[in-house]
Amino acid sequence: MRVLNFLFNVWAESEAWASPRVGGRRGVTGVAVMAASVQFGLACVINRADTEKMKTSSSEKAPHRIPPSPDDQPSHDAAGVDLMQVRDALAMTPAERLKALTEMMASIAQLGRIT
Amino acid sequence: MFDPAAMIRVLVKHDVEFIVVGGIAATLNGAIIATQDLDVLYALDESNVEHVMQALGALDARFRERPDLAPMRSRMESRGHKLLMTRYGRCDFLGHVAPDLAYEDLVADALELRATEELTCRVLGLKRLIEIKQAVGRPKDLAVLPLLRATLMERDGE
Repeated sequence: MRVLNFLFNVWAESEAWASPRVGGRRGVTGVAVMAASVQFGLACVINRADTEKMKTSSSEKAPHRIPPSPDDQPSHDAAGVDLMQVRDALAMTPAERLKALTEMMASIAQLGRIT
Repeated sequence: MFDPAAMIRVLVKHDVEFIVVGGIAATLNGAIIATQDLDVLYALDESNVEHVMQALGALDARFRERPDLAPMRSRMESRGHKLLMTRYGRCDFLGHVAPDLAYEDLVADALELRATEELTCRVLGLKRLIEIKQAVGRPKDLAVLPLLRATLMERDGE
């Protein structure tokens, strides 16, 4: 929204200042300048509101609610087990794991037939 | 074709009292382990053995070492391991697991888990499964212990 408003402002202001002030076109230029000013003001208000909103949401999010970065979690335990795989498996339901195992064993059996 | 869900479905349909142990139990608990058989620990009382026999008939079960031989009732009443081949793949019926634990000893440590979208079954808990794999101590059991422990740690923080 902020980007759109900014682009609109740039366009409106350039249109306003570049319009020829000849004859009856003078009024049109005035309207364009006014529109640009209104848009610019609106953009400022929106920008300020967005900034306030961001401040509010970041203050609402206490440090403990920020999910830990993947870099902060060890990828393997002391025995060398891949903990990402362990977490992936735990994220599945028992039925999903059983289905995954069945498919895995079917693939292995198929591979055995091929080789 | 190995289809553990289909085997479990037949056992549940025939009201067999059993607990899934071994690699499929590990998978249902959270640690996907490559395995080619379904291990079930079943109750050895007369009524349950009757249900087991009916389920074995539906599964077209045969001894793996003797494909010409269907499991007999007298054999299924024993505490030993019955290594069977069914229409859905290998299934080991266990009268006990190491160190000499029967169905009644472990049923309290079993969880009701949803093995498929439509059915639940009893599955040995991960902590007890780790203890049993340690007790069995075969190389293939020891090899999966790091993964099982890591899964328990991630899941329960233990």
